Amino acid sequence: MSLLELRNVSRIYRMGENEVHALNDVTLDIEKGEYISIIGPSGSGKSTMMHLLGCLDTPSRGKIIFDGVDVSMASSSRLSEIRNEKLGFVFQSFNLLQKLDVLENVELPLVYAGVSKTERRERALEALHAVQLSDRAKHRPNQLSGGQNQRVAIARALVNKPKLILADEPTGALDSKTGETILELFRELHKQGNTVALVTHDPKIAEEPPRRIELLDGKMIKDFRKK
Amino acid sequence: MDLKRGIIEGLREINAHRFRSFLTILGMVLGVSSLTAMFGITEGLAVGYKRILITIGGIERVNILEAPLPQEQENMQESAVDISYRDAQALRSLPLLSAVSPELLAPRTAAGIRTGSRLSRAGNVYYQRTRGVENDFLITDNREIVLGRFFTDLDYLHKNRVVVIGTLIRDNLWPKKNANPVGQKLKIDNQIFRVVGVFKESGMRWWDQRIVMPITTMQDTFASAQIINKVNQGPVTKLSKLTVQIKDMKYYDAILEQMQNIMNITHHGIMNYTFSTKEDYFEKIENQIFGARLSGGIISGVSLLVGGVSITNIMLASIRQRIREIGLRLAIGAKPRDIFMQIVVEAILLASLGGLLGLLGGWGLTNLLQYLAPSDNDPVLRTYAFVISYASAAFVGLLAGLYPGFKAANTDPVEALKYE
Repeated sequence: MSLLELRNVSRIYRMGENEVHALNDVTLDIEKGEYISIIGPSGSGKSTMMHLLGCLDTPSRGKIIFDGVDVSMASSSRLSEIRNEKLGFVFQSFNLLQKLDVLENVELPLVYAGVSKTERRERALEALHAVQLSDRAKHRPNQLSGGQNQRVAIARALVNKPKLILADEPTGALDSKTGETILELFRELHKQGNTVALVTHDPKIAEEPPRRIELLDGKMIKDFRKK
Repeated sequence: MDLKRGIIEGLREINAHRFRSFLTILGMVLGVSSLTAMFGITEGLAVGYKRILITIGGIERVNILEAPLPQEQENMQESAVDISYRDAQALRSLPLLSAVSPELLAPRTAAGIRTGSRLSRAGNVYYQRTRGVENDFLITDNREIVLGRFFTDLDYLHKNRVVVIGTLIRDNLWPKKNANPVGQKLKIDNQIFRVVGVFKESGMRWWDQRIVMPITTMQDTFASAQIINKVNQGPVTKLSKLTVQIKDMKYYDAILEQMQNIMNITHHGIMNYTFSTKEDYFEKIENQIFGARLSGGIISGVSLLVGGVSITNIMLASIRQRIREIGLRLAIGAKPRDIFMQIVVEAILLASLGGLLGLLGGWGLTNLLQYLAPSDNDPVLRTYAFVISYASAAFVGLLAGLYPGFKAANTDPVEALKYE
């Protein structure tokens, strides 16, 4: 059984009189432990794709089965639960809360999971160790560099041991050298057995994973696997 | 997310915007201040009146007062007689009255000058209207003598120039602490009187500044100026006040009826008097306290409403400002109800903070009032005043947070994360 199954998935937005097919009849399987990239120009539907994969949104038509559960019709509360248990997000702009320190930022998903304080602390430190930022636990995000911020965000995505890590242009706000270290980190995570999906518009970055999905005008035009 | 965590995050948020938070809760502070002060003031009134009730005694006392004639008797105005000593004597025939106390206040002259009011001794002066009484005064006015004695039959017979005074008068004329003035002299309008007794202290000013003499002395000394065609018409028998005490409240209505019958005879059926019972008096006071509570409550309610609206307003602005944060929290697994709770808790915290400051303000306000205008009805703050005031603040905070909380909980994470 695949980790993620998309069956004839469409996402349609209404804009006044017009219907916009942001995603049109996409069928796709993602296996456990895969490392994929999703690439396309702006307007190709890759953001919509990422929202659907990330259970932030539900499809207008079709079916999404995530880890054996049909999430196509789930309530917003149920989707929150699924995101909390099974997903880790990494954003272009990090989305760290400035009023919390690094450790508290990493802990946040566990707070909503109802994990006890001591266990929270332990697991957050473990995740910070994995991104080599243990020594910055008590810093505020604005005291760290961009690359460090993104590593904190990755630690936050890892802390709940997710089934799928979704990264949306994770190197977009970083210089190429720092971006390279972040990609290195994703490679490492993949090697350790994590499932990672990278959403990007940059062909060079999309080259990186062994599998590449190309989108254009809401349709999947290519599903390429390296030999 | 549990409540404790919500409270900690809420406090952090408030602390991060201290000045804004302070401005937001000002309305709340004013509302709770006035609510607390209102409770304090009305409770002070209630306590004050209760003390008066205890001091002057209960409802078994009835005052007979002058009253305007009823409409159908207006033509008999000329024939109406004053409430006089004759009425007191007649009422004494009723066995169910335990006391009949006639009182005659030192009169004012036609020129408005008060006679019998300037008390002096050894350079100390105190102004207080004297009154002539009989021994039943001790019963109807609920008095006790702590030093010396009250008046004797001989005092009444010989119109002796003797007085019994309250402690406040003693303290003003005999400045030495706890002096015993019994046997010593003082002057009333330059006429010499001897102090024979001192009333027990009550702590209430108006009560402790009484000075009384035998009613016959009053008639003889100050109230005899009823001179017609240069001929002294003898002592005035008109009374300033007539109070009776009922022996057994079981027969209250029957006694009032009997009194009515007797007064009917002495006043030839002309109704120029009325019975004023303490029941009427306290009913009036209850109404006054209720009125004060109501108006104070309405004023405070309006302030609380304004305070609540400003909290709602600032919470709406705040969730707009924090929309990315809300989106992020939803993305990493916060449920809509977690977001709802966080916003509502924050609103309640804001309101509670306003409530706490308001309690302090109300406490300060009542103390200021006490300091600026001391009276027998000083405000009294009881625990319930704090509890109710604070609870109203928290409740208003809850209401104020509902709509912003609902709005925040319904945020679409996709839209929120896109927001720049």
